[in-house]
Amino acid sequence: MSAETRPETTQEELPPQVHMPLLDYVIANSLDGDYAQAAERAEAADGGEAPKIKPGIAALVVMGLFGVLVTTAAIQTARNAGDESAGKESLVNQIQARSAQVEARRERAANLREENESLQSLFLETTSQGRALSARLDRLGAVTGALPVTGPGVKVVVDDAPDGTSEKQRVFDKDLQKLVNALWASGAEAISINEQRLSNLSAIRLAGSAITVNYVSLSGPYTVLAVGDPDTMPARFVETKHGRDWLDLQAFYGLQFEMTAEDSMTLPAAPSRRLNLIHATQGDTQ
Amino acid sequence: MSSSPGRDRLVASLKSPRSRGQITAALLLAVVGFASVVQVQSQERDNDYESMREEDLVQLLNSLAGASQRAENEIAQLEQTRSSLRSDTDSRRAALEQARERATVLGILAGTLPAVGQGIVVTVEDPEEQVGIDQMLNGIEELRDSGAEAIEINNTVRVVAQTALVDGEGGIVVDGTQLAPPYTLEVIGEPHTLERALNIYGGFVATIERPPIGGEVAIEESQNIEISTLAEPRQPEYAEPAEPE
Amino acid sequence: MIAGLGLLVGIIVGLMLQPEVPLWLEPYLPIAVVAALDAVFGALRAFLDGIFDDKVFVVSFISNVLIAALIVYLGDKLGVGGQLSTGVIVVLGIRIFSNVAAIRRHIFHA
Repeated sequence: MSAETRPETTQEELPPQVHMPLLDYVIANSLDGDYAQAAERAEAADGGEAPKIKPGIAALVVMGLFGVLVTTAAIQTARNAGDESAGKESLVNQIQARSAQVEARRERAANLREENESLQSLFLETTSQGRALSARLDRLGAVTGALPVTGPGVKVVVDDAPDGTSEKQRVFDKDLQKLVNALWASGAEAISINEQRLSNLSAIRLAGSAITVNYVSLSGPYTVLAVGDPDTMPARFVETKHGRDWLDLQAFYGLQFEMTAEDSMTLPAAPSRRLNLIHATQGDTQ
Repeated sequence: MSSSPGRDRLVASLKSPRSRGQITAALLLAVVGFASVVQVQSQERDNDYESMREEDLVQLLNSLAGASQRAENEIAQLEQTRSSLRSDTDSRRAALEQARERATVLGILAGTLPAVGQGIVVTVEDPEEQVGIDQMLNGIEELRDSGAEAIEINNTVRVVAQTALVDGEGGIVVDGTQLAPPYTLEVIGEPHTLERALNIYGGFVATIERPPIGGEVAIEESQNIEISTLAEPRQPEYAEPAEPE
Repeated sequence: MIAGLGLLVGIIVGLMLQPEVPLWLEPYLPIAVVAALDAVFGALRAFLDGIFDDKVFVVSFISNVLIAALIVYLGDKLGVGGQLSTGVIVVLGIRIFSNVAAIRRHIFHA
């Protein structure tokens, strides 16, 4: 095929949909072109007579079909709407119920958060009160004998006369009482005898032939630990009457007595029964 | 070129508002406005679930169910926190209560708190001024041995663990305070037990009332002994609480 | 008009029979209605234009409904059923508007 013999298509011969915008084309062709063609054919065949414009049986049947179609579609839609609205109604009810539930739960969560906040601050307050109280208990514990203590001081070891024959050559409860009293007077802050810590309820007594402290039987040698100033206590001790009494006991009856300064001693706490009050309760502060 | 023809027309229409065309347009626009407002209002009404499709409703229900579940989880967590906070606070409160009771007991023992209770009042007459620290010390030890829990002498001295008796020029000096006879000891404890202990053979009463002391001891039992003298609060300089082993 | 009578008969038959539409057919019913509507208005316009023809009406009605349904069915299979159905409705809608406008011009001379 040569270039010259190829048929040239001109603008007019191209089908309209090639150059017309889509919407314009759709609108322009909204009436089936068949109608126009059928009318032309009828006119050509009948030679100019008026075309058959009356709708025939076929048109009647088609309109009937159309009626059935539309009615059926309408009925179907009505049915679906019925089902759908029933379904939708139950959904809407569920949605409303859930919304209420979410609302209620959110409110409860908010209440709980508030409650927890106030519990938290109460907890912190209790803790700080506890700390203050704990410091106070420490101080009271050292002084009353409720807590074991360590510190410098003097150690006094006394015992019966080594080869004593008479009764007076033994260490009596009165002797230990005087020893302890002299040590308190010399500035002792805590005293224990053979690991028995002295509290305000502790007594040094004689039960039969044994000395008891805190109702515990002890036997010699008696190690008395007194926490205090190791430099001044020995001198102050001999200035007290009871301190001097012990020097006499040593000299006249041969009782053994040895006092040494100590850098660090540990005294146990008093037994808990010696720290219990049964009759005394706190009185009114004036 | 002056103003555009379109604008001229607009201006002209504003100036003469009563042509038939304008009234018709006005009526139609009124209808459009009315319909728009009705539609907008119906959108805003609460029951706009009507306009939503079923699948949209299902989606909304699912997301609400999810939100509800999350809220429930949060509640469970908050409740757990609350119960542990409560139990912690309760246990701390209980510990605090215990500590307070302990502090009260130790305070009475240390003499920093006043004390009340049943007990005895011991009055020692000492006409010869012969009662010395030996006898007083023995008496205090006897009282402790029979359950004395708090002792006050002459309403001026509170006896504590560290109480020391020394000789003074006018008589007995207790914890640095000079005391003069008659000596009054207020003691809290079981009254019978205390009284019996002082009266045993060779005990406090016997020693005081015999020569060479020649004094007199009167013991009165009481249901309400009030000990109000406080000891100086002691701050130990050398003794420190030891670390527990 | 006989055609109007036919429509009435069809509606009555439809109301009396109340046929159950099978589930697989339900989505195509609306499209079928719109396609049928387009054919009917096209016929009415042709009638008023004076170029109505029975055969053309029957063919256009049936083919409109079938083709519209077929396009949507194909779209469902391809996964673009919703979009294609929208496209079909848009085109049919434009045609209906246009035919109704022409009919209106005939009737009201407006």
